[in-house]
Amino acid sequence: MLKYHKQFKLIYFLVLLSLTFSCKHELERPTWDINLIVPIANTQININSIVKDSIISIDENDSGLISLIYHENIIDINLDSIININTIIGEKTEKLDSIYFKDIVITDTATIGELIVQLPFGTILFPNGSINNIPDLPNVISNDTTYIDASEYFETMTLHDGDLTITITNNFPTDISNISLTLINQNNQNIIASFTFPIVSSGTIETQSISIAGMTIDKNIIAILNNMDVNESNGPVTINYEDAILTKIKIENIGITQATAYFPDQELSQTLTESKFNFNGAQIKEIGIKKGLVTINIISTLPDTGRIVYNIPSLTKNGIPFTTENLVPPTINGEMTKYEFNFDEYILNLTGKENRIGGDTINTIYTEFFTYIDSTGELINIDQSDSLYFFTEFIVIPEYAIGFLGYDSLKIENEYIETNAFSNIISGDLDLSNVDLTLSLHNFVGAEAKVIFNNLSSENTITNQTRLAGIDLNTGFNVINSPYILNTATLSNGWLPIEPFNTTISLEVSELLEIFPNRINTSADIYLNHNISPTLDGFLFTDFTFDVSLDMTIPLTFIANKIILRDTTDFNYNEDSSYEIEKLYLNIKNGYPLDANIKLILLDYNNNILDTLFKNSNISSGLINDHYIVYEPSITILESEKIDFNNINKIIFYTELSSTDINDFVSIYSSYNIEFILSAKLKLTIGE
Amino acid sequence: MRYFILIIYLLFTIKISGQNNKVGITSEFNFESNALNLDFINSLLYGGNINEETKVKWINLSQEENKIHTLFQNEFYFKRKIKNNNLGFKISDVNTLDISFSKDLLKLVLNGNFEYQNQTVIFNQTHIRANRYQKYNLQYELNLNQKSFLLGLSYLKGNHNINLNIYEGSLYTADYGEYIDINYNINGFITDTSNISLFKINGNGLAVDLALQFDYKEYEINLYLEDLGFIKWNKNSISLAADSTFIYNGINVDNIFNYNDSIFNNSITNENYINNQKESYISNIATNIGFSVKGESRNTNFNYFIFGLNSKWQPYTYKREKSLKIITDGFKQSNYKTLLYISSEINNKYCKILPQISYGGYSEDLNLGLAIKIESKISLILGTKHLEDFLNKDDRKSISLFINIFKIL
Repeated sequence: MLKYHKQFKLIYFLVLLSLTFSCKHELERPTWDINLIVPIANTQININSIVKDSIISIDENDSGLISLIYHENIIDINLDSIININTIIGEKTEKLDSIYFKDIVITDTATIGELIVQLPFGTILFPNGSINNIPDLPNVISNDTTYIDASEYFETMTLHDGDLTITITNNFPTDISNISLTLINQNNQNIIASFTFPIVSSGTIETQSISIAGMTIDKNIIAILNNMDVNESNGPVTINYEDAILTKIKIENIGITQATAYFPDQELSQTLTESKFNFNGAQIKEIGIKKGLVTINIISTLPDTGRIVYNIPSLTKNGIPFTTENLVPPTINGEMTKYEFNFDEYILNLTGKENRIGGDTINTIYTEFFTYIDSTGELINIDQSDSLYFFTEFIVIPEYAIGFLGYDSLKIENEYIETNAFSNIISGDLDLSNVDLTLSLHNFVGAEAKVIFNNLSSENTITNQTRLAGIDLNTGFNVINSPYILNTATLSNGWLPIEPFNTTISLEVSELLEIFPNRINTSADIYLNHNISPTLDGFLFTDFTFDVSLDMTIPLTFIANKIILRDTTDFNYNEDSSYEIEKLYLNIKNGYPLDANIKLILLDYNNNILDTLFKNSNISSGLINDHYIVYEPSITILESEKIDFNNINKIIFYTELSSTDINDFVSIYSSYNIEFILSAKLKLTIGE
Repeated sequence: MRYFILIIYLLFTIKISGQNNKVGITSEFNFESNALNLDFINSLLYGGNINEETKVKWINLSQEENKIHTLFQNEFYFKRKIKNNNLGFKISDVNTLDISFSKDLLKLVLNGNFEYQNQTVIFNQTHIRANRYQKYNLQYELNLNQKSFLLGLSYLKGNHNINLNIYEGSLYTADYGEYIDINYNINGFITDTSNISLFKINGNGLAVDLALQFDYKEYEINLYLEDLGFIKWNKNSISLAADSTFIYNGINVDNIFNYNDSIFNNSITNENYINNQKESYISNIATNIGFSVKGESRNTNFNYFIFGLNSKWQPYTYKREKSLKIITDGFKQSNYKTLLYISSEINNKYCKILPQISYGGYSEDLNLGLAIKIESKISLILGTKHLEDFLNKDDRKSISLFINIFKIL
């Protein structure tokens, strides 16, 4: 029994062990392939989606018949050059010889008390307040030296002009006489000036003045009173020690050749100028500035910062004249200092200075230019040759001009506009029915113009075919070489809007289009104010000049015979490894009365052909009735074989279109469309 | 887990004193299908390439409505006799998977839609229900006057649940894939996917057991209702809902000839049409309802005969409303056909043989069950519910194995 129990223990142990540690079968995901067919993309193309060019619009009549309206400006003339301003005015140099230096005044006082003190027993004999006779005192002062310090005015000055004036005021109670005075530069001991006064009566003032032009004066001046006699008084006089002789030395009318001095604030120059612009015969009263840049260029050789004020009273914005004030630093290595001003939207009056003598003029700008130096409180060394050189550059692109625009002739030579309306067509025959073209000539300029077309044609530069425009249906003359007069435009109440002068030329141009042109060529001459007397009432708004626009109405009624369209598109596809595209289906529901044959050529990155899809695939026209109107779309399904998408870089689409019957015109109606549905057969491996 | 197994091992091998107490472990694995065979589930579980031959075979095997059920359950139980009554305790680890789907869906999944152009593929009534939980069950069996009444209460510790239901679904593919017409009404719930460890607790629930056993004449009648309960899953669960009908004909483009991979990828990448949000939800566990009649055998080779009927009730989604429809739907939505069975016990020199013949269940056909019972101090029951598929090597639609080891203490 014990043995039996042990056997069971062993069995249980093994069972539990196997349950616990039995090997596990790893769980894994199964894989299998499935085939899916999924719609990828769809599009419904009608005439609106085909004609996406902004210059082509669609017109639809009551029956839904579509006409394409093509509009293009073939001539749009820029007349900015007539009134553009790009010039320099007001070139001038202001030298420092006009610099102002204020008068220098130095005074000296000699009291009677000082004089009596120097006499032996003077204060005893002539006590202050006493009444005494003053005896004759010859040579009471001789060779008395006084040092004058002018350093608060200058360090040194060399003058091209100036006067030195000595004024002696005698407040002594007796006369003085034989006064001799000499002024000497302390540094070099040069005599500046000498003065002699024979007598200065008591209570009087005597003045003497001499020119010191050409002299150099230092700040330290020695004044030597060589002699002064005191004359006997006329009887007893009151001795008042405070009574004095006042000596005033004044340097005035200073004209500096060179100086190291403290200069005061002052205006250096003032330039009030009228400058005339050259508009090649145009006579302009006013210009509205679209873009304007005025640059003041200055070179200052002053040793310190100068200052300018520039006013153009005739240049206003919102009625406020232009003015500017700027500091001008000394030039470094002769470099100019430039001040640029934006004059966008300013108005430039060109009638000259207000209230000018002789009345208003034309093409003339009035400017005011002031130069200043400011006191810095520092000693400055100024030379007569220091100067401010300046000029002003005007670059103005006008928005408008008022006045006579001159006699001008403009040549439009071999102008062409490119059109891609037919760029995808590489061959085939197209027979169009009655295409009308209207050329509209618009004159927005306040001047008369004569236009003569030398060339108006369509051109296919690939096939080298050209078709000339023919008879103007309005005049019965050939449009080429016929003059068209465009009368002057007018302004409403003297301002915008412009009432242009318009005229039209009508042409039938089916033949011009049947060569699938990629260019419209134009050559013309325009004569401005031809045989017209000048008046200042003309105008030019540069955004509105002359334009010639083309309007073409192309009814989509045509016969197409093997019109081959080619279009190339870049292709960017990175195949997702989770699926494989085995086949593409293109389901086409053609609602147009055109048979089509398409093929897609796949190119690699080196433009080598990889494959051709849907080769020779015919897409039938929609089902049409006896009137060639589609009543039901045809359905065509195109299948591709397996494609290696990864190497495709470009796809060329070839489409050959033909009318159902190449002897009868078909018309395109707005209700027509063609629907494409692209679907793909995909192979997916589930579980990977 | 290994410590738990060690404890069980010690419980069974160490001699302890006592009387009329019972301790045991059971383990059961069932795979049952009404149509698809074991190869199908093997491929799904263990990978490998499914070739065209296999696909054809599976599609041929499939029925209009295909059901697959798997159960893997391990249980430890202990039963103690208190006077005439019994107190029982069970800990169970339950893993179930119920799938039902249409033949069309199988064809679509295996082949894709290319082969079904100009056809409507219908995949209504597709349901996937997976559940893993532990059950802690306490039972009290009251024996009175030849009658016994059992009341059990279970605490359910929910680990993971997936409940995906496609009530309506169809796909029409036009010729050459011109367009695809899709119609679907899907809802479902998935418990927190951020942590998929086996014993992660994502929900809690309760279940009750009721049973009545009595004698009628010479027969012993047993009525029972087992595992009537639910699990409430936490707020980290994901609720899915999508109800849509649309026709897809590709991306509308201006120039179809200017195609590139972005068009392709945008076309074939599924857009997220499903609304999902995090919310708590409730799911029912499968409830067994049945009765059996046990009678003495007049044949000495057979100890007794039991005739029984078992049904299951488990609605796809929990609903609070009270109506008879919920009861009837619950039986239908369990994917379980009422099982009729007859079983017996045959004495043998070394063991007892427990045969069973049944009809219905998840396999919806005739099943042969067979088990052997070795009684000793430590007893063993080892058997299968689908002996017929053990014998059918080529086309096994079911596989079943159960083991019960117990000891009377």
